[in-house]
Amino acid sequence: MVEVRLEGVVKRFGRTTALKGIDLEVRDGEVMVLLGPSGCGKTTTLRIIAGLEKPDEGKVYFGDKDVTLLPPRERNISMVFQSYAVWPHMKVYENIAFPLKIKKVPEQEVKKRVKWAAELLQIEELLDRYPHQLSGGQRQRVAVARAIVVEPEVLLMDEPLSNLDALLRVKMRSEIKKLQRRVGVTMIYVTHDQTEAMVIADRIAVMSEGKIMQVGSPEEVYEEPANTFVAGFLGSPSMNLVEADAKPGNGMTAIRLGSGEIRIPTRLQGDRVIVGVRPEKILFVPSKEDQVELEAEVDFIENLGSDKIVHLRLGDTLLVAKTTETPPGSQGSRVRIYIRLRDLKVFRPDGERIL
Amino acid sequence: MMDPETRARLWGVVRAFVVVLIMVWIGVPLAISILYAFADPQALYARTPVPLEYGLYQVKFLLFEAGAVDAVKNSVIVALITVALSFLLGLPAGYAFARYIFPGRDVLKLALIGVRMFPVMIIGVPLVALYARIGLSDSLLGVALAHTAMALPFVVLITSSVFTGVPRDLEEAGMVFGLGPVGVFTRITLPLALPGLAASGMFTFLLSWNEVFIAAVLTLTNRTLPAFILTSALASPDYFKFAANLIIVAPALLFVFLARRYLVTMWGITVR
Repeated sequence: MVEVRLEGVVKRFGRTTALKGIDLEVRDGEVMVLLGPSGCGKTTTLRIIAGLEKPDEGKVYFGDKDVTLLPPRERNISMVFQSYAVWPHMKVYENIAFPLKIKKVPEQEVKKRVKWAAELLQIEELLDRYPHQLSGGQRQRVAVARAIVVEPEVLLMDEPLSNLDALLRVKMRSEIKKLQRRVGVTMIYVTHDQTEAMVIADRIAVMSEGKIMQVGSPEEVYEEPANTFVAGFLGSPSMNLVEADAKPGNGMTAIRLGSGEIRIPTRLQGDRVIVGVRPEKILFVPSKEDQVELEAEVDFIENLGSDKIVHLRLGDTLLVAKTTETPPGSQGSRVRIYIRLRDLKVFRPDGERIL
Repeated sequence: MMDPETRARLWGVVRAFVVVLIMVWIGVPLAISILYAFADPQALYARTPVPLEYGLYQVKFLLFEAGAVDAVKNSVIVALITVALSFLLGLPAGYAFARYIFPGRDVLKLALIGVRMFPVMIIGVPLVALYARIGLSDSLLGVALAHTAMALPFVVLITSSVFTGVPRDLEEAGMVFGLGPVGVFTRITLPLALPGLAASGMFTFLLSWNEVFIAAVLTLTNRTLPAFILTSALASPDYFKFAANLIIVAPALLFVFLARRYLVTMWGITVR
């Protein structure tokens, strides 16, 4: 177990800059999830931590040790690859035992440790098989067993669940979390799946276009997004983000939202803002807190079973609301909606959060 | 319109017919030539559909009295040296082409094929003169070197595509789990590439085994098998030609069958 620190890491591939200065601190024993759309640089970041890529600028530290130029084998890490990378020419037992044998662990100890890892991942009956005789999910377990058997200081996971079917994915993500708790290893986990990130992470680093947009606990990045990218990337349906005119007044600001107007009790700078509100925070019954009230027309309703997605129209502004209750009114009817002041997020036109 | 079942059956018949045709086309001449190799010289010219009397006269004669055994030995030595040399040089090159992007990579790859544009006929004569000067004439090493030059471009191109077929992830997993560059190559890449490399080795072996021209030009006493047959058996009666054919075909066939059998079952995976 060790803390991992990246300082000003830059990585270029030819003319494109994949990482534009990454600063990240992963605490000892925590699960840090690197989350972002494909091409955001999350896998490159992981590969630099693994030592499979060298950064063009910046440093990587494990604890106080500068490991920037160390090859992977000298970093005391292990990794689960997206493709699992289970060696097809070795049986499952040999795959799991291989890292130990390289480290010249005595034969008896190797047997014990492989047995321990295999039991933990419930693959004891598969030890005598070749990888091509296994299903995707079983191969994935072998890859995880191989990764934990060496008792690494840092466990790296590169989209380990993306090749599994949906049901298995849900099962494995909680299993991986439990496993990490049991082993207590520092884990860095790359995914583009926000639900997976929310379940597994102690903290999430949301990335976009080679930069870290926000680092925080799952609750923080969801409830208090630092910018419109994070706000829009997390949550399904995604947060309503509406560009609007703002009129700063005396200790307050009036914001036009389509046909309606909301007043927030803070004086904001600038005359254009982006207003953000999560679909489930648009209420159809008044709350007891400070709130704004608007009138909207119901465009149409999607019924997802437990959830109903209500598409609302305020003049030329569209909002999406999510509710578990039966929505008041049907298509074409006018309804009143309420948004608590603390659920209103306001961003500058360049995307930075101001309220 | 035919119903699908009839059509499938019809296709089956057509396919079987084509397969049989190909088998007959290759198999019958092969079978006949092997049969004739054992035919008694007199019976070969008798007016019967197939010879009725058989013996080992011409095969034995070719092997033990005319010197085919030595020629086989020479051929094996030359082919093995060729395989060894072309792999020693070609394997690293193939790996580099597969794994690294470096300036001039595509030009070099093209140049490899370009080398084969020079006809062997034209290279042959200067090569004799060159070999005479450096003392390689009439030597097996000389023939093997020439064969290596012929085989090398293929070995580089084939092994590079074999190495490309080994997923990078598997090598990276090796690096993460404690191996250095050499360890990754010998313990991960090489075993996984082995079926493909063996096939390419087989190809190189046969290329050398079957090569006539260079071998005939460069040697006088140390003939390889094709050169030996070209210069001695072809001037002999027909039954010697058939026997010579058997001697040159049999080891190659045997080699390919054995190697294939081994390849197919490697790692418990069916390798095609």
